[in-house]
Amino acid sequence: MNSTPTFEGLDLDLINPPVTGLDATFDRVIRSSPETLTRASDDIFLDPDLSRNPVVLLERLRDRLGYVVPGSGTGFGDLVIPDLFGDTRLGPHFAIFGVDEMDQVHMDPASAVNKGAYGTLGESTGMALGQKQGTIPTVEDGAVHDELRALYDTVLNHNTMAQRSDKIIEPICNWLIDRIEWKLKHGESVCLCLDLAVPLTYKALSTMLGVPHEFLSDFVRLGDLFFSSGFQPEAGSAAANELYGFFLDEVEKRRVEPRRDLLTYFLKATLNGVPALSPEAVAITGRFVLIAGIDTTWRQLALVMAALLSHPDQFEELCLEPAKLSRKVVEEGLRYAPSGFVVPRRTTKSLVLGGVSIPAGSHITTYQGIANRDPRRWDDPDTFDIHRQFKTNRTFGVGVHSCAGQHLARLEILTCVQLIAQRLPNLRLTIEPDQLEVRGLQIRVPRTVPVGLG
Amino acid sequence: MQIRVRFRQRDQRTIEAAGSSGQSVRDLALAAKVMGILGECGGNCACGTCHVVIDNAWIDRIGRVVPGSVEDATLDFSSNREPNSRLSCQIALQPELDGLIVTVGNDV
Repeated sequence: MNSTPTFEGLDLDLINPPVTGLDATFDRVIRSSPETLTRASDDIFLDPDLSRNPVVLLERLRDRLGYVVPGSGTGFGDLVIPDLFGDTRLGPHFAIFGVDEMDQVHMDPASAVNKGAYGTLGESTGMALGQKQGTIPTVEDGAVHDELRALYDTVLNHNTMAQRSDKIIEPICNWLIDRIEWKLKHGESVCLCLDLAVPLTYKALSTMLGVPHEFLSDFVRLGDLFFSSGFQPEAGSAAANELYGFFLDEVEKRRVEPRRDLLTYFLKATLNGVPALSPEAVAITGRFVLIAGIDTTWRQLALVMAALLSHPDQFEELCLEPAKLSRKVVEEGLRYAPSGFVVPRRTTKSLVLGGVSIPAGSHITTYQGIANRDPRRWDDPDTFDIHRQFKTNRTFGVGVHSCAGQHLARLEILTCVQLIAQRLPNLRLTIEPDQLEVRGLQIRVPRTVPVGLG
Repeated sequence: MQIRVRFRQRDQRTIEAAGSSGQSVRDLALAAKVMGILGECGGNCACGTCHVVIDNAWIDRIGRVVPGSVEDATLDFSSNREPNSRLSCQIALQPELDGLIVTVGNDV
């Protein structure tokens, strides 16, 4: 592995701006969020049962066919599963359901690579206006990946993120809880997706990135289309162009007049005396960070809260000891209900996984949503239990390609869980847990998490 | 310069390994196949499976975990936590740590 590059010109204070705009305007933006935000991008392309119950169906498949299952062209075994990333089934393809087999793949980044694994979606990530303008670590390998990932890590590491907790994440979370209390007091309905998860994740990252919050509705709509590029390449490409244009304008503003935000931070970073990223590459980075830092994160937050509130006895225990139990709730929620359900790779050489021969050039889809329930690792894996012996979940992956944003995501979810336990101990779902409609396969999302005070 | 570390495993065996400046103690332990160091999260301070207990003679040079830090919270997921416990993914080798002695924290 290459040694970690040393960047110059890094000023972390740039991404510690004060949170502003926690006001009536933000309230109006939240109220105007379209309900389509909580629609799973791939729902209409999936068999309804698969979209509703991937865990049940895929566990059955695993139990019948094993932890490594060859593809059948239309899916795996007798389960029809569309090509989630586009153009990834032109050759041998396999699904991985076991945690040991998943680790073997992810801990060998030279043998199972990102290049070619993300199909049409992957090709679109660095593209704008018909050209490649930059790239993201997700689709890169080797030295290119390592360098870019190292730059991301200077910002997203656990220490840097923790330092922003009391200045950025907690104030936003407390304001949103104030707003939820107000709405409930005045008889208004509250949904933890639209009233908490979406605005928290957007506001926190847009504060650090320097994106105005009036752009929220447009941004999330465009991000949703962008993420669907595997299914709707034309619409995804159009959305990608529009987002890129927005960010390129913002980057140009910062080139002329630096501001205290992440776009300026990336513009100023140099490596061996030359800019680490071109302005176009900064725009690509901003576009990716905002989507990646919001789309999966808010869904994950909503899923953890839904799982917790579906088990009121455990929520009650949390409320009695929030400092002690919050982290356990977060990790069990991540294990039990990951939003990001799959991660792809492509093999560069032949491998043997779980006794199955995988030729070079094969496409692999690791299902961390099922690996997290591997009965060889977790006792009673289909039970949500905040007291279980902790074993690392695979929701954020492992190894060099593990999620760069996991520390920000964990912090946001942890802060929410702890503050809600402290401030709203009588919060409850206003529907039965089995009425929660969670959909999607690539990224799972609850349609709504309606709550009230009990 | 090669920086030497002595790992005491829970089965009382000792593994001697040497790494380079900047390398994490976790990465060195994995390379040396030290029993009990899993580093499952890939060095992201998220799992607690690279837990080591720093020998008393070295703790002042390394420093105890910062109370309230992410590392401190993650160490709660480890077994056999002691005042000198650290996550080895958060310790980078430096020349002045040559001869470092640690004990593997977690039971296998």
